Amino acid sequence: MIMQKMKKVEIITEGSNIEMLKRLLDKIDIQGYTIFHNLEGMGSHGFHEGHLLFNEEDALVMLMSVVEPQKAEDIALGLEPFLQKHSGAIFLTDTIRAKAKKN
Amino acid sequence: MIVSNKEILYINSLIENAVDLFHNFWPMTSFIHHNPLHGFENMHFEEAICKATTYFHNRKFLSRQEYQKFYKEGKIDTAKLKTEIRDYCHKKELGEEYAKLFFHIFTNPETINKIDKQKVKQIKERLSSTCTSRRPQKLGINFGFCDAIDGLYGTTLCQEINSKLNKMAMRHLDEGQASWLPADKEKGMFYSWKRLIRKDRLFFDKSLQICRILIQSDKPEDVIFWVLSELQIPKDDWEEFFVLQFGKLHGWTGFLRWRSTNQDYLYQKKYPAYLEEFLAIRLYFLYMYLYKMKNKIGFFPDFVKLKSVLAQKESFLRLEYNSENILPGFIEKYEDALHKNSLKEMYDEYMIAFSEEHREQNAIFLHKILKNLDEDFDDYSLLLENLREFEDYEGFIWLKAMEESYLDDLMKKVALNIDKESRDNPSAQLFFCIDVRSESIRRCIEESGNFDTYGIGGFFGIPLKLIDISKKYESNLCPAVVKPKNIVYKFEDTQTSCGTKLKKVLKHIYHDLKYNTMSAYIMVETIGLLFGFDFFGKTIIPNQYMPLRAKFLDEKYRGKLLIDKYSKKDILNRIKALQKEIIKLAIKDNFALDVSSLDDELEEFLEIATSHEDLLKLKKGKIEPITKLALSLNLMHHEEVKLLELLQKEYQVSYFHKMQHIEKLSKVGFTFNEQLFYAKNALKLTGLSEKFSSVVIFCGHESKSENNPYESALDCGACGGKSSDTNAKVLAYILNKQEIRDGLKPDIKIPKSTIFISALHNTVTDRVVLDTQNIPKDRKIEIDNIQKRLNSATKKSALQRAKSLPFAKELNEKRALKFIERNSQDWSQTRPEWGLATNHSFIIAPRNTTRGIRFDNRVFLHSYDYTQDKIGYYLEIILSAPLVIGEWINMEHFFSALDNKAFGSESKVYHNVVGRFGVISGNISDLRTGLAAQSVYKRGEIYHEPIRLLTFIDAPFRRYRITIDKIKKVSELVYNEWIKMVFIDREEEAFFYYHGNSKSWKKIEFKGVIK
Repeated sequence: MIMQKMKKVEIITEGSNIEMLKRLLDKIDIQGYTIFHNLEGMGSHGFHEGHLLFNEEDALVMLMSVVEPQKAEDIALGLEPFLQKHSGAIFLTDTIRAKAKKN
Repeated sequence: MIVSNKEILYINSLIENAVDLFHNFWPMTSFIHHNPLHGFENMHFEEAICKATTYFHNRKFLSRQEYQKFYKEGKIDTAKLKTEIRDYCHKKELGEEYAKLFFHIFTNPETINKIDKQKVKQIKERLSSTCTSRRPQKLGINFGFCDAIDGLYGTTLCQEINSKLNKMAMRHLDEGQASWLPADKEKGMFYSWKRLIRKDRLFFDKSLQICRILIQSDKPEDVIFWVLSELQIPKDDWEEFFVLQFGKLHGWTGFLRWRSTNQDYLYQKKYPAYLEEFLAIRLYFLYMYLYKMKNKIGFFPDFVKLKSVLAQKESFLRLEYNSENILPGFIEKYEDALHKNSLKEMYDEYMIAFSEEHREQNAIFLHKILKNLDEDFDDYSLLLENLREFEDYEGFIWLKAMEESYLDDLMKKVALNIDKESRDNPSAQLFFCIDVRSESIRRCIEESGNFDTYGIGGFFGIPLKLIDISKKYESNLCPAVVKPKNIVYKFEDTQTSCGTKLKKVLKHIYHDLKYNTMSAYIMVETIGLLFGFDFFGKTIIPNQYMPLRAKFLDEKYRGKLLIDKYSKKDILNRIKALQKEIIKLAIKDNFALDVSSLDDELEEFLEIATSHEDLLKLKKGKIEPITKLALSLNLMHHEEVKLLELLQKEYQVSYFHKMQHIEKLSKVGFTFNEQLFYAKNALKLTGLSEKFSSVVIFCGHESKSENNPYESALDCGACGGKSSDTNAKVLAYILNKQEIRDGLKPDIKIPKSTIFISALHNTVTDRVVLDTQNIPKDRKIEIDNIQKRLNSATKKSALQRAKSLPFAKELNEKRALKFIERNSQDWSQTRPEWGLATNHSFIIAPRNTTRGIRFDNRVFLHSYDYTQDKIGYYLEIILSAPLVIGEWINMEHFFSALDNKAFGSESKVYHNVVGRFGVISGNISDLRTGLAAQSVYKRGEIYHEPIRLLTFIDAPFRRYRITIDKIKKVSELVYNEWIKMVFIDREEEAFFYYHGNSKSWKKIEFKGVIK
């Protein structure tokens, strides 16, 4: 196993923004991430119902990715104006990526 | 210059913020009604409209004369109007004398023709000498670089840059209409444009830094960043600057915005185009034009320099002159002073005259108002100020009074109907889309026999993607806020006649002809006869010609739907069969051999080709083949290796493609559990869980018209601007399965004798045609009888609807049907039907709440029974999707009627189809969005009365109000007053409605509204 210090980036946003977000990450060469749909919770913009059966645009989603520390900072600072105007948040956490050695 | 990752994200974040204000534009083949101010919904409705004027240059409300017409027609109640005026005066702390004055202004159209000069003089003397509201412009959101330059120097930079961008967008976004494609289109808009601009001597000069950036970089952000720095725009103003740029062409902006969030859209995949590319190209031209201005005006007009120029006194005069606002007596003086370079000296003289002129105008204005009024006011300056402020707001007073009047009327109707019982043992239950056009046909059907009808979103609660194999297209049949996860295949029935290929060729040629003038010259002889018939037939005798044409160029083939999910084994077998056919084809193409009989050998070769490992490494020196297939065909070892490589690379027979096919096919159809889930939802949403009649009919709907780019705007809004026929068929198929009915027990009990069938409602003609394909023989007579009743309901409904159309003279049932059928087939008809115009309400209630009430196709009716929805789960579903779509439709009509130039697309007469996805006005313009004038105006006057959606929920207020607060979007719409919300509370025998002026819920007892 190779242990590597990385940053975990979690971005919470409205479903209608997820395509844009995926594309922006692709622009800076981040192609690996996981998306969690239908999040429910309370924030400064009020309560967000998580089970909108026929409306994915207004339900919250979370995109999680593990990246090098510099890129994590770029993401947080680069997306700052967007998050100032939209529901959502970014969380950065120290993490370790355990990568299996390939023969 | 290479921008960093952080800067790339930063610029794109600002772009996203900027375009948030401009609505998406869907291709017109799937027209989606939307709120043009969707991006403003987080603001209060009134604030949003005022703010929008900055970007869309729209009017805020209808004119006083237009509202006065509604008032005269009795659509605005006097008492409601007085209440709204009083509320306004209370808010502004104005006395009763003002309430009287404002009511007088509202209800007494201006009749003064003669001006009493003496009176005007007296008023003028009592007015203070404060000047004017027209002050020197500041650089900003609605006054950008080009506006400033054009205003100061009389140039047309805005127009020229827009023209460049229009041409570029038309070229790159074209979807098959143009006969010439730009080079490298598949590499993206920015790349392709770069190639072209480098050949343009007027706009490309290698000695300029910006052109060198174009040569070195493929990133649009590099250009954006550089231009922002060159123009010295402060970083805090970047977003506003972007808004200004996108706002100049908000049609293209909306389309690019939609494309960038729909990556699987065929043309986006093929020819990518993004907002940052569009912006970079715009900024490139902006910079080049400003650079060229340098020689003319003597300096490079960056942000700092331009700002200081605008602050100079003579700039005001320049702006007055170039915008043609200058006082008539100063035109020659200005030209003379400009010539002598003495504008500064002329300024003071002009401002005195300017101020005087304004006082005169204000005095005339007050004179007209006060002439027939007993009331006098001490302070005329204050009066003027209050009047101007009132004028700036008065439309909202009219609007609210009109809405309250409609609300009152609806409450009365509902309160009178509240005790109506539901029907016992109806002979059939019919489900229609909530679309307002279903209202009259539902009422007429109910009147024609013992039928019960239900309202549900036209996608019947089943979001699906339809892939029509014969027509080679796919479409999402569900509201635009959902991305369907299940695919339904439609494939050609074997019964289709053998002339299909000929038909396809003819249709292709016919289609080509419509768009391409060159082909018209070349091809007209080939299909001259057909085209000749079409031209005369559609124009002169559409009623007789169209049925014949339908037989010849049959659009409606009998398609079969694949609804059940394949098992894993089935999927693998199907892929195997497909790939074997491809191998046969590849061998025939490359070795000219027929291998149809070698099944085992093919199977073995397929295994090798689609294996994860390389089982057939080319062995050096080996001649003998390894596979059975090669042995049978006498191929050498290197030939079998070559075949394998060909299959994997050219024919997509590989492990990777096999896995891709598996993934795709696993999305086809619905699992048993999914079918159960959707079936239960559809029935529970509408409150039908017992007492099923022997026939239940799901009516999909579509609109049929000819030569109408807006045809899909008349189709089902809940199906993304498509026909909802397929969704109806899918639900009927699912509910006819015994295992599904067993699975629905004990919640939903469907008798064995009940059959579910689909039908298609044509909203132009109001014909409802039952799908009789799979009906048991012993039920045929029953179904035939229902069809007969439906036919008679069609005639009644058609008559009611036809009367609202222009040129509908003295009509009876028979003539009405003929009249609207002709409309649907006449390709010169600009208004085949009124569509959803005049919609004003959305009622979520069981049918007995509204049965028998005539709504004239103005109300969305969604069935709902709160007694079957204890926790409000189904109400949440209705509010979060059908209601949201209803609001989009309502707001689309509202704004298209309010200002057809800013939010609509004006007359269809001047429209040209562009790129097969939209329309433009004339031969070049921004993409036109919104509804055409013919959809909301009748003989030059407003036909759709713009009021916000009055939404009624039949459920106890105190228990179900929480559903609104739980869904952010819905609470935003209610509390920001984009919709008016009312609860029909049977338990408390009262209405509860959200009163915007007091920002609180108000209770009105049923008894109180029935007077």
